Amino acid sequence: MITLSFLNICLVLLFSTGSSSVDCNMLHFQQNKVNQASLQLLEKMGGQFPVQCLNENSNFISLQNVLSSREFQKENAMVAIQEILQQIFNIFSKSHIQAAWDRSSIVAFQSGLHQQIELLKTWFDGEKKLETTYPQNEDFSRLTVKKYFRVIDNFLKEKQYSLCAWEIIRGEMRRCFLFIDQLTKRLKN
Amino acid sequence: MAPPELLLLPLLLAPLAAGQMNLTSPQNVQVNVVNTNFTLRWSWGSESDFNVTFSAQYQRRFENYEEEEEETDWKEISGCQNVTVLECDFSSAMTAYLDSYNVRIRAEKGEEKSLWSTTLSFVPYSIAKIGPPGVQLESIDGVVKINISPPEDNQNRKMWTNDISFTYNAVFWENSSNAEPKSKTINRRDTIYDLAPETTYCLKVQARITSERKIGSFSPVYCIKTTDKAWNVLPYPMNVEVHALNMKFLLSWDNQYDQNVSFTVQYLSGYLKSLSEDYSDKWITISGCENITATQCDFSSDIAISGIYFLRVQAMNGYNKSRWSNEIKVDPCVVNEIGPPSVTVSSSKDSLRIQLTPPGESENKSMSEFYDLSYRVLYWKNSSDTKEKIEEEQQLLFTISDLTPLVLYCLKVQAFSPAYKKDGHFSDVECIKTLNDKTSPLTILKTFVIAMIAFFFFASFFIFGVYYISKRIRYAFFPSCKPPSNIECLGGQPFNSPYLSTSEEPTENCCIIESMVIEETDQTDFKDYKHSKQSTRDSGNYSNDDDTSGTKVLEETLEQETA
Repeated sequence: MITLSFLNICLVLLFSTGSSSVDCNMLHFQQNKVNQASLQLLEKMGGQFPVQCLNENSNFISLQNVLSSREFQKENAMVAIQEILQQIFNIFSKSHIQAAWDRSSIVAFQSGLHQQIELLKTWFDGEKKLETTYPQNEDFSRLTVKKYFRVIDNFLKEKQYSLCAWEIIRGEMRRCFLFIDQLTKRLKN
Repeated sequence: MAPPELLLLPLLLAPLAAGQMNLTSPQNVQVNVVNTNFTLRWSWGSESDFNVTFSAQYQRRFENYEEEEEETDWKEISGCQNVTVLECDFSSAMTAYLDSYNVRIRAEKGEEKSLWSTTLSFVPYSIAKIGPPGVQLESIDGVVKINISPPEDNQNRKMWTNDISFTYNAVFWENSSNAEPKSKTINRRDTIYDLAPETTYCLKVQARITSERKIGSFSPVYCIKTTDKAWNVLPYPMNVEVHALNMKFLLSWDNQYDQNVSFTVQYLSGYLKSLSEDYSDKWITISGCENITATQCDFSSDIAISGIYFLRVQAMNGYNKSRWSNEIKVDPCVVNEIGPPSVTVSSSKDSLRIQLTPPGESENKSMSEFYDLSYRVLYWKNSSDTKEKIEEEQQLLFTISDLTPLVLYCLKVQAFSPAYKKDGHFSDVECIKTLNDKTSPLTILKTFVIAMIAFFFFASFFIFGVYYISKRIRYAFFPSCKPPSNIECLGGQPFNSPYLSTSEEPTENCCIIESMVIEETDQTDFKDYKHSKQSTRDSGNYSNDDDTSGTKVLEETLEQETA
């Protein structure tokens, strides 16, 4: 009985890695491109951190502290990346977006994020096996990411979408991409 | 006298025992969440009794600032007090959809109360289901335009805070036929093309968050009749296609017009379709493709390489304008074809050396910037019909070895991207002959002569070098002419080797030589010495103070001489 179930697991693993390995390579490759481009665009859209905002307090517990990237399996990392990208896209889609920032950089940033989100969606569409693997784990990371961005959302609201609040969020989003970069390494087969 | 606790005990037990006796607690407690609507359901085993009511409580579990789990006290759910049916709505009690909640319920009859049911724990977001989206249809020019509003549009409380996580699945079918319904993933604002004219179609839409395995419920079915295709004005451009080679993008379409027609091409950044605002005024005309008569348009300079784009074409004849063509989706790196790499081959007797340049490098758009390029070389003997062989490499430098000498080999190379599953175009076939294996006697002779000349040249150079260096060394350290003995007697090492630097200037640290002491001790034995001392006095009465070893040696030599 035990051997049979073990065989089952092996078969599931065999088929799952076989069916999605190449797509996963593309995801990994494109994710790296997005990470790099996004970090550059975040830098470019607002330039230097304004001096007058240095006194503002944010006290975010960084995403890295809540989700340790070492604990992530491939699927789990994919879930976390997708959720973070969607949340960041959501923040930068707000109509309150800082007007002083370079508009074309924001467009390029959003455009790149959107492309990767769509790619991840199609990957998840094709992955029927996700219904059986680590759903609780995934649920936990997704909820943790959502909670983290709820804090960010509330922070922006509290500060009434001021320039300094946006600048602090911009810095925080760069840290997010560094975290995504760590997660991206988990995508590689 | 009994202790007070014992007296109190029966009082406490009485209502408890009574509750247990008469009222069973509710069973199968369930929570159903659709969007932000929370329903609590339960069953009750006992006979239905109109006097029995149910009341529920909840508590919230959350992480505090120190990341510790905390629980609030049990609170009564306002919508679920003294309920007579087996369900109640408790949406108002739920506020934090990402936190964890506990719910419990009990039956009550007058003063009697049942035990609490088993506590049900849940995270609202995790168990929430997606409600149906709103759908609006519009029939125009033979196509159906769909406008979807997300499941919780215009609501203050939202379970689904991020619209971009949704994908919409439309199922549509011809109303009067038994054809299989078609399923299509659509955007919030989308168009269904390729429908039969003047036919009634029915459609329903569901929202999904596939990555979270959440599949929403379908909207009601909507039916709409397509119009006649608007041929009466001007037909819209057909067969719109994108061709791209090395990131040079061309949009082309059929020329189906008899009259003089001009075209205009527009593009839209794909992400705008995921935003809630209407994007119909966000289309941008391609700079070089306004009112053109050609049936193709180069839009390479208008789009960035990252991101998804949509393109559309419109035909114009005077004041007549066609409807916009079907939109075409462009994912630059996916649509693009990789051109051939440029190849330089050189040969030796048993190998070929292939030097590659990535595709597009000559146009300053190297494909290696966009793809994870590897290269595949196909090579074969030109004479025979032997099968071609393949070598794959990530580097730009190939060496194919173990070949037969003096054979014409042909080869072609393609670049490919494993990540995008893309094979590039092959380069032109190049043929090259491997060199001869046996070397002719003339070449051997030539090589021999050259080697000999080189040997003699270097050998003579070496010998001359050695001779010269030894000469210099001998001159420096072993000079052939010795200074006169009286000068040597001064003990001045500098005289022995003039090239060796003296550590100190002899004149700087001086004292009077105690010639008198020597004279006093033994005047007769050291006559010569005295003489030499006196003679050196001409050049100076001073000698190195610390040169005592020198004077010792000097004394010894003097003794030997006198002996």
